[in-house]
Amino acid sequence: MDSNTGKRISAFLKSKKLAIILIFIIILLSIIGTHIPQKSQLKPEVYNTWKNNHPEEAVIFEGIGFTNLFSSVIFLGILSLLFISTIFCTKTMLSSALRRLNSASQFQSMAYIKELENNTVLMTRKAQNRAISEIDDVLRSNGYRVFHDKNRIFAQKARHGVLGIPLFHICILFIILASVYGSIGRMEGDMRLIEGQLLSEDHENYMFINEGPFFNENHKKFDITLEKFYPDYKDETGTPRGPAGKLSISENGKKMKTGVVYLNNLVDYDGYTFLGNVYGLAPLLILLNQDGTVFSGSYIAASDTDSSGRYTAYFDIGDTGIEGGLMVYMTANLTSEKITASQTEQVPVLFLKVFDRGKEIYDGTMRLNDTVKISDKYLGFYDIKYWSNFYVVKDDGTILVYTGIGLITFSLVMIFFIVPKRVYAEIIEEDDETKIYLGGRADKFRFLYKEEYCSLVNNIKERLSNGTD
Amino acid sequence: MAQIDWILYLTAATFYAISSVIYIYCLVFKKEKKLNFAINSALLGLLFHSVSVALRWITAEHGPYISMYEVLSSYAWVSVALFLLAQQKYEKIKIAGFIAMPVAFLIMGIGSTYSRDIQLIPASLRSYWLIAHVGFAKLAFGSILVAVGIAALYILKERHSNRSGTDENSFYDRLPELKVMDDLMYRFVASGLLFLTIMIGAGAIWANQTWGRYWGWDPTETWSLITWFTYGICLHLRMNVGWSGKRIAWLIIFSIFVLAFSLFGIGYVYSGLHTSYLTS
Repeated sequence: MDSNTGKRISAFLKSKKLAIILIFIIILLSIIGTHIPQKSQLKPEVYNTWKNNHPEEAVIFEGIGFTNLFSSVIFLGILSLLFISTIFCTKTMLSSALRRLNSASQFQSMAYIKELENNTVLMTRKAQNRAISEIDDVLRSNGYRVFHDKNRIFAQKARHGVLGIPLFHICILFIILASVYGSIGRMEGDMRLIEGQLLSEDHENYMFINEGPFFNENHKKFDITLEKFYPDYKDETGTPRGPAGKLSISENGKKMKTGVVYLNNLVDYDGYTFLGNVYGLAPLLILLNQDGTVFSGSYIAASDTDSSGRYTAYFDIGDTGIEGGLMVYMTANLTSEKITASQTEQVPVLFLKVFDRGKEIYDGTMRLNDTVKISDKYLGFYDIKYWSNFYVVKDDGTILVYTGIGLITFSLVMIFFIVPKRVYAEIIEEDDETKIYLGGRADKFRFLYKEEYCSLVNNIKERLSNGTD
Repeated sequence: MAQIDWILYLTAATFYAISSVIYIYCLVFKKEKKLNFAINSALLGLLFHSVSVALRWITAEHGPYISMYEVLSSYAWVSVALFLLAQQKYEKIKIAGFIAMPVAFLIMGIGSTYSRDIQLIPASLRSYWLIAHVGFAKLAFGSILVAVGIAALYILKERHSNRSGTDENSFYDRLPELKVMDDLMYRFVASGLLFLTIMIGAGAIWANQTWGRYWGWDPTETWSLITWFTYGICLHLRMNVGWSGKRIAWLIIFSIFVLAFSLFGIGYVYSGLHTSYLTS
């Protein structure tokens, strides 16, 4: 590749118009992405319904990757081009800003000053040196850094504002890099815990798990216990917080952390974040032999799929051919004694159907500690606990993205509210008068700067008219 | 107390309507001296509105960000308050209320069509990040609404100058110079972009706390990014490509539709994680 081609490519990539065109394409694609159902955002059944209702559109959109538009080759390609373009632009902007920041004081002659949008000629009877000193005082008291060169003055303030634009672009690059870094090393999964249960943070203990290509099965394998679940948790201030789970985390048998997880209140440990997710009731069913020994038994996680307060589950018992369905809900304890609302205690009621190789062998209601005969065995309902799924996320890029967002906000403040301002003056002694050519300019909002400049001039005028010559 | 806040809301809306009529009258008939009536009416409306918002806040035990009635009421409040502050600082642009006040009145009108029942704050919305998120969305809208008012004035003044030259005594010539108005709309859009950035940042942190990810291309998130890009392009064109004056003024006027859709329209068009909050 000859140097001309290199220059052409570089000029193309740092072209401001290219950046605008790419952003415009991203906007268009984003709008398309909000109209076409996105697989990653919808439940599979919702997505499949759309697919069945619109088979022709689905084939086309799936074919060009628009049903996963935000991770499609087209979208990521445009984003990558914007990233490269931003690198080129940033390089140019940064070197220009640093040049301006480090440039020597820019003293100017009256010819230049007269061309500025804000310029004034003042006359005083004070001597040149005295006039320079008065102007210097006024500029300093208004926050300017003042430099002198014989009869010329150069003053500036907020000069670091020139770094705002390059910083903004660096932040954009930083956020993109941080999110990519986060997503390639990201791990997210659902872990189901029954009250009192302990599970190790390991791949096989997740019900669902998604790992980035660089996560490398790097599980920390600490132990997680759901100590207690609260369907209607109230925090220490008495504020209702919805469902919550008290988690404890331990390593080598030593408790390292305890925390209550509910919406907007996470538990973080060693880079992992635990969020509350769905929950339900888990009745303990035990199948006993006729002699009272245990044949099989476990907690069966029942879910409230229709938000009715009734939790359902299907189960089978090993290779016995026995399977069944249950529905459990909490109800007030039946009692003949008079009680108040606060004394009401909730107890579980279990509706159970059991089949033996497809043939119904039991259909009835059970209360806690009830046992029923099923074929040649007994089935007992001995306990009930809450279970909860915890959404576990490890994303090392998150804190970097937050830092990027903080810095981008700061850079915008720098760009628009820390505007570099410069004042130039040339002071010429003529006969018995001193003539002052004064001019000022702001990098942005030049015409709004006029107000500040006029106030400066008035202050200088006042100072020059006070005192003796 | 609920009835009192509603009466105050209607009183505020009435004063905003009166203010809007006076602003439009002043603009059409070039009666600059009557502008003080419009400003006083807006101030009086804001006073009633403030008490209405405060009473609602006390009664509902949460800020104005749960039901659409509260949300729209607070958008109108922030817009009027920001406009009144802006015209206090840049006195010559006070006629820009001919955009800000009718829009505020319109928002109040739409807000009044929603249920005024107090909704309990869901657990998912109990977050300080949410307060920052919605607070900065309102500030962004208010700033950009002021910019739109100035942009409209810019176009009117420029048209007037092209048609009849300058005359120091004419209504339009007593407005700030075109270059100053250009700077002013630039500054208000810049403030809007800053507020949008903070809004998106706070929203991302809240989303991460609630859903375990800071960005998920949900339609509301995507549209907030589209809006951010739109104003980013607007400022990029102004700063780097040399667009200024009429072209930027039109772009600012057009862009507020993108912002308004992003803030108010999404819930009615798309379904997603945010939509139930945005339509109730």
